[in-house]
Amino acid sequence: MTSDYLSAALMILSGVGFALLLTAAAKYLGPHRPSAAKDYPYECGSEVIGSPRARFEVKFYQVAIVFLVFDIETAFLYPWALKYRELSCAGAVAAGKCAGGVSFFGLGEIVVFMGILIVGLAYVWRKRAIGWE
Amino acid sequence: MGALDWVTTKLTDATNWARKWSLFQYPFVTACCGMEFMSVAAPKYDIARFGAEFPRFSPRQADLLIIVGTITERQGPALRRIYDQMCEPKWVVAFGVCASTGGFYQNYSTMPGADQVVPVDVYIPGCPPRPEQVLDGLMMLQERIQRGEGHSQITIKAEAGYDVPLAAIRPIGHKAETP
Amino acid sequence: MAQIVLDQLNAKFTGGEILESGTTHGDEWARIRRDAWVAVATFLRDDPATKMEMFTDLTSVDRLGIHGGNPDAPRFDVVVHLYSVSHKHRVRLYCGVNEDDAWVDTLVNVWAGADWYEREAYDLYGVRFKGHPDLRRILMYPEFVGHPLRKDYPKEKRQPLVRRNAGTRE
Repeated sequence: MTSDYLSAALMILSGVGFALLLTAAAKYLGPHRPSAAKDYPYECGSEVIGSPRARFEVKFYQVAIVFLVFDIETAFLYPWALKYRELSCAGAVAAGKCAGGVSFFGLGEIVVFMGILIVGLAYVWRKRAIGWE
Repeated sequence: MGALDWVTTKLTDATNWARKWSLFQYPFVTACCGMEFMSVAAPKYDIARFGAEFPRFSPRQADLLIIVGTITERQGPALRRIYDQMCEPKWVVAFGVCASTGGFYQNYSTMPGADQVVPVDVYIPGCPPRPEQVLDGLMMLQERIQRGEGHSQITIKAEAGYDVPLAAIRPIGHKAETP
Repeated sequence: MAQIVLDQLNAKFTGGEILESGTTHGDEWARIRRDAWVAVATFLRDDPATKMEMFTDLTSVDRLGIHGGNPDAPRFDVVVHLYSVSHKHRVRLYCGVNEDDAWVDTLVNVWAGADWYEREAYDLYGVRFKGHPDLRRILMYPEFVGHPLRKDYPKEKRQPLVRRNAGTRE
């Protein structure tokens, strides 16, 4: 078990270390010649027209929030699906077979969970926040 | 201090080797030569096997400015600004005769070659040049980079205090004299 | 082939606005007086027999020294090509202007596509277009002096905008 964490830690360290190594190499081995032109914004060589702080349309925010909620719901479904066998067994699961009776705990809990979210989906649908316009 | 010089020289060689095999190109395409540039980048002639894989259409991440096509007088300041916005070390390739000398245009609006505004390292003639010619030019540029003779490399060396005369670029194939 | 166009023009404009018209090498053309320029263009666009919806080209010709034997001929000709997509016929219109009086009414209000063509004629020949929303140079840079396609502009003259410090380090 420790060796699993050891390899994960080594991978993280080497990733971070590689990035730091390259940054250091660029900083100490590369030329450093700042100039006014390099600080100027890039607009295909011409003078800058307008401000980068333009107003955004709110539909982007709407789509992002709706996506986030239902994406998290999907993420919660995965561990539930993996543990479904244990959740729908009244006893213990031995060698792939249920040793007790049938339990509706797993099914019930997911129906409640998704029911709440489906009510939310219906609301969002009626309010037309799902579409693009 | 001979040992330190040897280390520095080897380090410079290694750095130049890495630079020549990982050129990030900024194809400044204005005219018909862009079609041949696309052919060179396509799988048949494949500029990616030279490490010059991705065209970065931004001077921020590019170190090779490829001037593809005719430059008009009106574009002069834009080209100069783009060249100035690139970080050192940077190299410039004039792709096609219009970027090299003005091409078959000799008129009121065409700049007679991109080297009127930016220092060019390699000129690739052709109208448009065949992809093989372009790859030959790229290999020529790689030799220049390895020897440290790009315009910006020489400028950096001169600013670091080394004595580099103005006409320090040797023709390709020329054997180096022992200093 | 487009004789109908010339017939319609000559029928509608009887006050001498059509100075000349004819057919040369298979192309119909008409020379219009300057004050009738927009009226003729609008008529050609709207009349059901001609219906020239498509504006194809506008350019200018410098006739310095080429006046076909008439020394009082105007120096510049503004030439417009029109095409009818429904009737499939073409016509060319000319309008002569003198050098010291080089202006013509703009056709932007008749066909929006005339915009940049008129800017090009202004840039390269110096012919002004009265009423054009944005008459400025299109090919040359704004500080350029002169009009390059005029026949008295020297062929070898260069007006560079930027040059780098040649011979020095950079």
